[in-house]
Amino acid sequence: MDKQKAYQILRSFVDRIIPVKDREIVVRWLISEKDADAKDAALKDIWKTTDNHADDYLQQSLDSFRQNRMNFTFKNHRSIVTKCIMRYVAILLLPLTVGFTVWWISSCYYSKSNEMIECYVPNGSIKFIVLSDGTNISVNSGTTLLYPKKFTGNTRQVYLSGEAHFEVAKDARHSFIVRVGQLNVQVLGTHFDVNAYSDDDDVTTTLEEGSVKLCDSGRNKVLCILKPNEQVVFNRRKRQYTKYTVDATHYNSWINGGLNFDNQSMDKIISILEHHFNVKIVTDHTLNMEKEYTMNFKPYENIDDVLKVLSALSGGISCKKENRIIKLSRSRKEVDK
Amino acid sequence: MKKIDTDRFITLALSKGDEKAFDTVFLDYFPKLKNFIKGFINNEEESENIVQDLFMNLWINHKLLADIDNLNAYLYSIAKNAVFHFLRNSSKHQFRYLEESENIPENGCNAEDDLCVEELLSAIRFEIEQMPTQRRQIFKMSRLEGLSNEQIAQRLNISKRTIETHISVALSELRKVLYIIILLFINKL
Repeated sequence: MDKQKAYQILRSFVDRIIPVKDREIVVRWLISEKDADAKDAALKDIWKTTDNHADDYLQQSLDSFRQNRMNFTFKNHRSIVTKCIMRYVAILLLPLTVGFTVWWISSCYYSKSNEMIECYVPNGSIKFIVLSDGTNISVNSGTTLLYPKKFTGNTRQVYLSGEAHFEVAKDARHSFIVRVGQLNVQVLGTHFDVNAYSDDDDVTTTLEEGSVKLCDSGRNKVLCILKPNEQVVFNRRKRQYTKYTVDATHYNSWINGGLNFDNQSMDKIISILEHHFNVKIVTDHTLNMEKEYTMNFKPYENIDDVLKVLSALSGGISCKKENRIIKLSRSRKEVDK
Repeated sequence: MKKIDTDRFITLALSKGDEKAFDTVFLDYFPKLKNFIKGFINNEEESENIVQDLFMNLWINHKLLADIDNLNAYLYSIAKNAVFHFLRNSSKHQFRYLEESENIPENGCNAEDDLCVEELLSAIRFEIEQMPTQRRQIFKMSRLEGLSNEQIAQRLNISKRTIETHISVALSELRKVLYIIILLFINKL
């Protein structure tokens, strides 16, 4: 097809001379591969002769173009700014995230392995605690017990200053050790009592059930092995121990709030009373501190009951009580004799 | 030469994203683009949208305009592609609709179509010959030889407005007559 004819067809099409029904035939021809050169030349001529008269809406069209352009530029600019910000945020966030993760993991790790809990029981009260392995501990008055929040490693270790009664949960793989300064009380699931107040040179360990091994960690040697109803008194200063056979139940009655003195010196009794009743006991030189007494008190008996009994037993001790301070002295009657 | 130089100047400004240059080009070419596309699409709003999209594409890809020497030719090729794109898409739709009743040849055009167009063209030529002398002369120059209204005005030494009037009257006459002819054709069949 020559250019002239192609032009005539397309011209008629554009001029809408060709009826609607037949326009489709022209469209089919136009978009087909046929007569490409002729059609292209004809279209060029149509483009050339297409008038460029502005209609009344040109300004409106321009305004809407400007609006679209502004929207696009704004959006584009915003996305560039956002991208830029996001890049810096990412750069900052990476070390922050890593740092936080490391901190979190390490804090978890340390809290598991190293966090020790200090249990201080003031004078005049008793506390009961359960450790993470299920061990029950009764902590007597005036005692500090240090124990980990969670046991890790091969042994279960607690640190004691004062008196405590242990009911150790059985775990053959992890031996339970009570550390009292240089003395280690090592056990494998037993019931026993350790008395180690810091104002007392003696550390008294009394076994009820199972078996207990005492070690001098300073000299790195085993001192002795206890059987039930045996008691070992270890002198911290002399680093010597003495073994006794006792009724172990006398030494754990404090758990229920009672008091038990079994041939104990006045000196010891006074220090126990101070802890138990949260009082201060002042003695004068006239009192015989070496004399031993055996007494039993129920949980509901108070300091006045104890002093009454003590006074009766000793046969001549007078007590003066001011608030929480108690003064003990030989009664004048006794002095006169 | 001078035309090309100003084109270079404008395309350079366009490629830098100069908003004023874009406004100028928009005012210069928008009506021509719209009229050209409207000739094929025959839908005022659709044509407006297509041309708006074309200009937005130019704005988004304005950096590519740095290599354009001839803005007019470039815009023509864009407009032509837009027309082809639109016609292909809409005819696909139409053909699918027609497929149920008619057999459409695969290349989209057949000998029968050629015959139809041939008949139509001869009918148009016949009708043109029936026009008054001056109108016929003007219409032939415009529609058969492809001269612009301005060129015709210069050659015949008459005003451009007269030519426009002649052509628009001729076109409306032809549309009426051809409509009747087509009706007659259908009746013959």
